Amino acid sequence: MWNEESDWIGSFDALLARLAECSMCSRRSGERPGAAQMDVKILDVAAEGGYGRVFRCLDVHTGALVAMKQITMVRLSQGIPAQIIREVSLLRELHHANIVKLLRVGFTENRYVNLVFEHLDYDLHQFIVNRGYPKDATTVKSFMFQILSAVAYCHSRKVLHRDLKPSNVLINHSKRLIKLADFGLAREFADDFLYTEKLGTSWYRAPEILCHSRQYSTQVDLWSVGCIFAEMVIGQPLFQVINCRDELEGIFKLLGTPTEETWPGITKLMPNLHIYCSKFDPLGLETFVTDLEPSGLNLLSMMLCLDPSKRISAEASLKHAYFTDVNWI
Amino acid sequence: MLTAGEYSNHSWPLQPETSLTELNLPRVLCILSSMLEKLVARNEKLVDILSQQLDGLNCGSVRLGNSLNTFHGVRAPSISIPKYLERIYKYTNCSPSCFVVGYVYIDRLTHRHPDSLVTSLNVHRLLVTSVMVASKMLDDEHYNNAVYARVGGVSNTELNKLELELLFLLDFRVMVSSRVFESYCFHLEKEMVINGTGMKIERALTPKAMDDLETEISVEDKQSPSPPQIVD
Repeated sequence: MWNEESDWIGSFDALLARLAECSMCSRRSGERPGAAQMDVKILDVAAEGGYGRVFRCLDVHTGALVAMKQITMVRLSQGIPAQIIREVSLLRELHHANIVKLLRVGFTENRYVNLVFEHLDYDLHQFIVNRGYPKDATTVKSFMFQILSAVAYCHSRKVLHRDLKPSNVLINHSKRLIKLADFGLAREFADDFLYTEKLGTSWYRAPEILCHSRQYSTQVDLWSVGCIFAEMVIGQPLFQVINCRDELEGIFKLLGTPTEETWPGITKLMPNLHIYCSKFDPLGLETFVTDLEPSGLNLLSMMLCLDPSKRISAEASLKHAYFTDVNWI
Repeated sequence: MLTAGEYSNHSWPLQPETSLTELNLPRVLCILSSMLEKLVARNEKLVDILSQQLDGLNCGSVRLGNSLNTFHGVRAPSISIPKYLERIYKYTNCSPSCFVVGYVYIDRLTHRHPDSLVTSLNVHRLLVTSVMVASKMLDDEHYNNAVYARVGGVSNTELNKLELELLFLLDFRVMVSSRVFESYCFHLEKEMVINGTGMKIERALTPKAMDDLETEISVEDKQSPSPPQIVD
């Protein structure tokens, strides 16, 4: 036995990594040639989620660090989950400096789908929680510009991310480079696994989705980017700060309960709005997001606009006055 | 992941003289059947010609690419292509767009692996696999592989293997943009004009639940010498 808990965890991680490596390298007869062998040497377990594990690996050809997401196939009847097919096919088509690169895809033992990505140091959630959120305005501005560049590119390619949140924004520490990741994987797997409240968070979901609208478009991503923006400034999720029973009430407390004047079509979308919650006067973004320059607050208010049709686009956001002095990479 | 401009579900109009109780097949199925039957006939004729020429030269047998080997059966299933497509549509309730996109995948396969031909030995498996993958890409709500396997007459395990094979053969490039989708629709509609539009199928096609699947088929290889039959 080990005395230190950290030693035990470290050894257990190493054991898991060795087991994973064994399972990856054992090729069964009749299996796709080249599909099993991913040409990586597993170093350790970087993360664990409902879908499976992420391993930190070395590319045996280049010696570069890579990340391998090993997704466990839980249901024979399901085949390859739709969300994996969608994510992989999207990443095959999307090529942008601020979108994570999928290097290769493999399949082993009829049990695992292995996705090998370029390696990044940590995600924005870890950056905010563990490393002290980006207090300097320059970093916030740079990160925001990069996130919006990636989102604008996706939207230009007719792609919605739909699951933007700090844990899906990856960071290269030395270059201060941002990359969007997880194009919808988590959402599909919610049906197959029991998620904790933290994993299944809806703090970044647009009000039209929370109102169960089936007709939404690129604006949902801009709402999420606005939530990320606010979180980078205040150091915690914006709608976690507001004392409320659920996200929708929090949104209405902050921005005011919508009416047909402020959000045309809301009464049709949510007929029981007056029963659901009392009429809130807006507390205002400036009440909670205090350390943000006026142009930044203006951009944030345009992103966190209740009426999706009036919400700013990613393309327009990049041209906003807030970014006149942006300095990135 | 959805695309912002959702693939337009071409509202394949019903043929004239259709009552409300009589739902016809989407036109896309008729034209796809016709095109695939022509493709299979042409490819098999090509194989025959090559075989004869090689026989005459004593050069051995025709050696085609093996990319589609996984999709090959020992013999051709007895169910026709039109009936097979009808069956998939009837029981999986997938949108007509899935058949267009499935056709895009088969077309991409033949371009990526030009030495591998679509023949009567592999066309059924290619169809059920490509339509299923298309459904996963397009439809937010879709049946799982087990249902498609039962509808398509293969085992769940085999269909999983075929799905994986198709995805790797296409290098997971299964995104179809609105522009590409529209161009394929235009191409199919042009083919319809050439072939004449009187392709009405006199048959009610109300989507049924899987419990109501009254006809079992098999496109899997059996030990018996006779080809797989539709079991009534």
